[in-house]
Amino acid sequence: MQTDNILEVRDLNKHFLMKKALRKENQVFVKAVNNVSFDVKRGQTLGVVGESGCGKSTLGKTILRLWEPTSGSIVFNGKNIMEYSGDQIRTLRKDMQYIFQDPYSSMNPKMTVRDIIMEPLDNFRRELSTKEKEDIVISLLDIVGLSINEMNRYPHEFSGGQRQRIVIARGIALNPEFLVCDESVSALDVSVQAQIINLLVELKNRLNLTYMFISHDLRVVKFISDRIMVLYLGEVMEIADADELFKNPRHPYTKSLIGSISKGNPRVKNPRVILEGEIPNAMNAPIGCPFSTRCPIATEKCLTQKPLLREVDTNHTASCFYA
Amino acid sequence: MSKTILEVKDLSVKFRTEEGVFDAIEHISFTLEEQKTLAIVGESGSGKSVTSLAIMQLIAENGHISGGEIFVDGVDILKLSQPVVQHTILGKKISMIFQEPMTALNPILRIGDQITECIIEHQGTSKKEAIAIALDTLKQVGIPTPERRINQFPHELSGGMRQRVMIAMALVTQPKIMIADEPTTALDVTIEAQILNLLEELKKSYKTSILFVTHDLNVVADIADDVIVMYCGEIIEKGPVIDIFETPKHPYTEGLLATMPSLEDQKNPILPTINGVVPSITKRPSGCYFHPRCKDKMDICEKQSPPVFRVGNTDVKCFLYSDEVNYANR
Repeated sequence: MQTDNILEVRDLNKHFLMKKALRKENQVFVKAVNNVSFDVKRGQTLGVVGESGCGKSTLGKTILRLWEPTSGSIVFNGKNIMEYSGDQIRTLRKDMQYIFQDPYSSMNPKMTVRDIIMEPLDNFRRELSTKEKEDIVISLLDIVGLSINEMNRYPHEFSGGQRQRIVIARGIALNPEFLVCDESVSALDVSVQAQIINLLVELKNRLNLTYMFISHDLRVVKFISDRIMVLYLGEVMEIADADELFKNPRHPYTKSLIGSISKGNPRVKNPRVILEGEIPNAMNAPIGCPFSTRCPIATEKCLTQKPLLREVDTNHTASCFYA
Repeated sequence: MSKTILEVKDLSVKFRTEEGVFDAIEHISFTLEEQKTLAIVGESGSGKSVTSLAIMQLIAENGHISGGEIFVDGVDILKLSQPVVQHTILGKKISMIFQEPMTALNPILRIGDQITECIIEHQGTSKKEAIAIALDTLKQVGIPTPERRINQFPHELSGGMRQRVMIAMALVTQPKIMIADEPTTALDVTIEAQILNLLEELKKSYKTSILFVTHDLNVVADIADDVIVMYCGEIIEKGPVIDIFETPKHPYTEGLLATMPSLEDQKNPILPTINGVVPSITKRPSGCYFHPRCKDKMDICEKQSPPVFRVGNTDVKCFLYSDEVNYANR
């Protein structure tokens, strides 16, 4: 086994009970994360893409055990954190942090920026004096590009980009090794988005971070990721290095996803691959391949059998019978 | 030469806030030709939505159109009385597709009732005829089994379906102009591609013009014939889409295009950025509004607001293109 994997996830499941019933066979589950396996190499960025409802955020939260996994194993730094209980999970927070989608709703509006960034230090670095903690806050503000004068202001006084910076400062306050960034730049204006992407790249190099970068924006994911995982209805469709995935997509879903993005060139009009229909309701997901209902090359086999994730090229896996 | 269907001249909108009265948009002028798509691009606070809302006369209570003219088919709609505009122009000649269909649709009315309301209001048909028109239009926007859908409520539809319903509602009166305000922003890429294709098809079959408001330059590249770039309530560049993308003139346009992550192989570890943020409406700087963020800033930019210069096919509001500056650089 390679030892430089910071995270190894095997057969991870997170099912939500949607309809209770006395008899087990009548219960309805949504399989938000369904038999997901992947590795994240230390110091790399794994991009996770997929349409809304494909389980990207659920996966991120389940890996950090913010949500209790249904089954599977999560090995972080060589330790199976699935076996961890209460106190151990708490200490895990120092090493794994989650940067939530909407910076405004993930900050307490009644707390000043100073208190927001200091909160993780209050919880985990009790040995430090207030002065020492404040020094850390000041240096964190500097790292993420905010001025010290802004320390005593409240979240609503900041723009979207600045709020994202505050949330990032809080996320790195405990020197974590692994960060899950959930749609961290999606709500931002284009010019600000580039600033935050650059900040994340810079922090990664400076602090030796490993990212799982969740986004629906393929351009951003392509830019920031070393490897990319494509999800559909809670299942992995394809995993490959970023450049390889875009140059040589093997799964029909990945192909149509990449085909749907605009080329950003007014001379190339409408070469878009149009995928018919919409993502099916997760409560009655297809029995066979989850993508079979929309797939342009689906056969009888795809409707009844689930393809397994298999190696289609070096370091390139896809779950399709015809990939 | 195609016919001009919409002409906006010197349009300004002011908003009253607790801190005083501010200009949301200033002296906006542009024309939309028949069966063309004009895209208005800008970041939040650029005034792109205010411009479209002003045309639809949907400005919020604390704002008003403080100057300018809006010609629809040659008639200045700001000179018409309110009832006349409501009955003959808005919803009939111009209709609007909003960004978030969940908030634009009435959650307690069935889809069918919302569409027929609009048909009966504008075409004076009977309920029965209206239902027939509604079913037909829903089919055209690609809604499968419209007979079932018209009895459903908005929450029972997916985001893409809701947007299709919005488009159907905008279409039933066979408008000459459709204003689409970020119609695909809330949608997934595959659905976005579907909706953009649909708009493109409908533009041809209904012979309408589209005013497309968006922050997404990639979408603009796909659908627009002409582009307006807005910043802080002003048009800073205007021209055919090819010129805007291939030879952007204004430093802001250039910067915006550069910040888009490319799909090509590029191992530049850092994205080009524009420094700073869009200033709020209450704190716009002196001179050219873009000067604090501009990489080509000159002394004059702080003092005066630049006039509009014609460079090739583009109109650009930037001192870099004034004769004096070019002369001094020679």
